[in-house]
Amino acid sequence: MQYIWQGLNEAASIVFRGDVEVLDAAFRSVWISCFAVFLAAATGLPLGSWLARRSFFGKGIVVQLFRAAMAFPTVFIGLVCYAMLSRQGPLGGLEVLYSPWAIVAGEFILAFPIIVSLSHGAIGSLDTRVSETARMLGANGFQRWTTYLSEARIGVTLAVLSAFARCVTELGIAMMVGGNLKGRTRTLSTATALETSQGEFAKGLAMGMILLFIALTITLAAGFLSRERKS
Amino acid sequence: MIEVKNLLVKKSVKTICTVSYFGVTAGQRVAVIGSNGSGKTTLLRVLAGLEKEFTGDFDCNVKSGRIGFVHQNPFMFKGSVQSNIGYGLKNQSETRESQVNTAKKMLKLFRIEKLANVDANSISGGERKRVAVARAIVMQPRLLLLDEPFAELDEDGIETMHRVLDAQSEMTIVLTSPTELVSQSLDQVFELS
Repeated sequence: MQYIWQGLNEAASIVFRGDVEVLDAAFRSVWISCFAVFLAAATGLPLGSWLARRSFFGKGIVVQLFRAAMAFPTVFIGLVCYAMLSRQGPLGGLEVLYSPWAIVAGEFILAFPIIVSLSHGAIGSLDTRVSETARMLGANGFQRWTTYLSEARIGVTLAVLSAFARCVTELGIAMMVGGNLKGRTRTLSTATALETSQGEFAKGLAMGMILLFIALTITLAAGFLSRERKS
Repeated sequence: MIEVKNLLVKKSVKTICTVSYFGVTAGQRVAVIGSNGSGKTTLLRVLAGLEKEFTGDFDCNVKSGRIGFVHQNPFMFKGSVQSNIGYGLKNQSETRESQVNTAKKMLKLFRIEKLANVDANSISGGERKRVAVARAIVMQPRLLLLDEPFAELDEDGIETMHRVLDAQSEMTIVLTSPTELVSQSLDQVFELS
């Protein structure tokens, strides 16, 4: 127990001192995850909404496939991305392996099915009168879509939040395609694993505390943004 | 304006609406009456273009964008009563000021000014009905379809609703209602069996 308390004290001191290495990894983790989730939301929300409002042959299978993809292990996604982005891979010419962009690509693959599945669930459960009322009040396709997002805002926010939480805390993709390069691709999760394995428990704990802080901040912000308006 | 012949609507094997002939000319006020389950709502949904699966001839020379429809149990979007009334105007890219001014006029017309900034999902069934009809009238439809507009309204509400609907001289109005609430100003009463 003494070991853990000592670690916590040192971790707090590292955080408040503003250790450059820790802050650098934290900043990188946040921007990479934000960008990946932004791309996944920009493409996944329209697809999730479309799946929720349209009927077509094989729709059930497509929805099930997206749900199954939510459970993909990050190390498997990392492996696929590695195969695609390595020199021998079909996208090797892009030369993005071991760069933050490779992590963005991997985290996009991680976030996309989460956003599609959860937004599909949230928008699919809306009352049919939402669509009918909007249509009868002159809403075009885009206006109806924004109405669905607004009416299902709690579910949609939770979809984006879940994707972000999964991305910012994942280790497999960042390790496989990022390579944990100091000052270039090191994220909070890879740095935490590295520092702990090197016996730097306090530093690992400090990064874990920042991860926890980010998760709590995002949760509170999402709760605030998706709150129901009271009269 | 509207002509329906030999309409038949089925859900799986159950027949939910049959109409041999139903016709409405421009500017008319028509009430569709009938017992529960006679297909009044289904007929209105066919006229609104919300019910696609039917057989028979249906001819309506009003563009879909000029038809207003109010559900029996209207849906209120998240937000205030005022923003709900302005929803259609927002879709038409009207300015915020225009939306607010028109919504205020409607609230006054329906005697619900005090509800302007109230959460639309916290109001009573009767108030919800007034807001939904106001929201539809704001769009100035050529054809206004109202499913049980007098349900859940108190005496004052019924009187207000009649007064507002009677003032819409440019609109063709088709509504469903129990017989006892049908206004004397109607041109035609159509009974579904």
